Amino acid sequence: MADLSGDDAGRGQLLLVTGFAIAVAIVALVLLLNTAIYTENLATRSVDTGESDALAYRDAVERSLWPTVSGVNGGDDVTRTERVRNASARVDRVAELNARRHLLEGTAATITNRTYHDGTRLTQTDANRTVTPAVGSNVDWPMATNVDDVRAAELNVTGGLYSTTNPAEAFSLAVRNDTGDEWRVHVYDDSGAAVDVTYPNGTTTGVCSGQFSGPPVMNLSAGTINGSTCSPLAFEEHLMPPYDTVSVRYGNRSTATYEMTVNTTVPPSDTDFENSPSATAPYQVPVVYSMHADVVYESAELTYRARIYAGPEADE
Amino acid sequence: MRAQAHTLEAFVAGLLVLSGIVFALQTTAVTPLSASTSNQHVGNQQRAAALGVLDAAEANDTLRDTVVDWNASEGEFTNASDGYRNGGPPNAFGRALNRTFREQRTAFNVDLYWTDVNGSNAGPKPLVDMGTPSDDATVASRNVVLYNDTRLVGSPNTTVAEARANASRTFYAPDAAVGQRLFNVVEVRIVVWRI
Repeated sequence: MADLSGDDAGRGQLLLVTGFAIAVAIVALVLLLNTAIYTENLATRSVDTGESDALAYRDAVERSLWPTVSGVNGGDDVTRTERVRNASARVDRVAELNARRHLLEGTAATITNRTYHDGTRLTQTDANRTVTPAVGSNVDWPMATNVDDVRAAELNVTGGLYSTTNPAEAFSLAVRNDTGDEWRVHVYDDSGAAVDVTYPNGTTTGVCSGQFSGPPVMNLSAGTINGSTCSPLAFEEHLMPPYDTVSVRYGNRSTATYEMTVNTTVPPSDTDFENSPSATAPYQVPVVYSMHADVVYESAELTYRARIYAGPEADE
Repeated sequence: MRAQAHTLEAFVAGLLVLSGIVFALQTTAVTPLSASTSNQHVGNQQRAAALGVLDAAEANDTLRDTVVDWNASEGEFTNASDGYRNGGPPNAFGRALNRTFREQRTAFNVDLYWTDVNGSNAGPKPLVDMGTPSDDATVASRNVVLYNDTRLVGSPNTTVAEARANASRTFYAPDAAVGQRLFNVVEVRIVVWRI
């Protein structure tokens, strides 16, 4: 049996204490390591200020704004003030419904600083009428000037075509842009209805013959004739915006119905278009062409503001 | 010599007791399922993954398809009875959720919230219900805008407005913008937690 009261006992105690010391050192090391991990976690914690929520709000608003607002352009007998008031109510609703979940998080999300761009829809519904102004006997006349943009342009030629082999003598509709380039479609009777397109300024010629039968129904925005594609007809593909003038030459040499929306309010002459819907004369209707607005997203950590555009096509 | 050893021993014992207490205090916070800074990383990653799934689904329109994957004659989501229980819905969004979370042994709930006719918040309508989230669950959400003429994916001949009008098997969200093309805005909220 070992002697525990001699010098060996003191040594044994020292060994024990050393063992304890090593244990403490290990525990201290573990503590230190834990603290390091803790610190690293704090340091690398995501500094999420909710920017993805702000962008998601903007995206949702931007995407849903025009499908909602465009509904105000239906119907003909509506004043511009009413259109804008209706549009404003719709924007309010879009903003409110989209902002709801952000409000719960203490965030204000709104659509402010709204600018509605005035547009005018020009229409003629009488299929037996020539393409002439409502009042007066002009056959070469500008339908609209300073239009900036034209959309949903449809020309439905119903008859009364001029019989010729020279397109220059026929009924034609032209769109001219700010730099002076011109796109023009001629419709005439050359042993059957013929449609010629020239752009810009007559340097290139496109022909849509053989692609249709019967009176041509043209969608000048989509570039179709009687439903089939004739790409020269899509003037937006051949003419750089912004546009300046939409004009008619020899309007008496065709009967047609048409509809187009231009991004302007002022007709060249007060008497060219009736101010209220008419079954016999061309008329104009005020519409909301497009809009700009500020999306504002304010949370405790973030203030975000972006100008968005709502319209039928991309902002220009 | 012996007194020296005793003194040292006392110091060491004191330190040991103290550090034991400190260590115990810190470790209690680091259980795998409790909310703590140590699993903050995992939470961040799960939230980022959930946002990624939502963004992708939003970009390819499968998020909207999911929200209106409604069977008008059943009055329920397609092939579901009161939500889906063991994974995402049987569509592209559900497959993305399953690939991202279920295959990684991560549970998720998907709840839908919307605005009621009187302007108050309504919901949740559980789309995916995998149980009660734990304390360290993370949340990500996106809005889906519905229009009156949005067609149901589960019943392609019916619009949301028509499905809502069916009194006995009504669509869950009402028309929150009466007289406008806008129908409602549905919030898709994903709750993700480790199991």
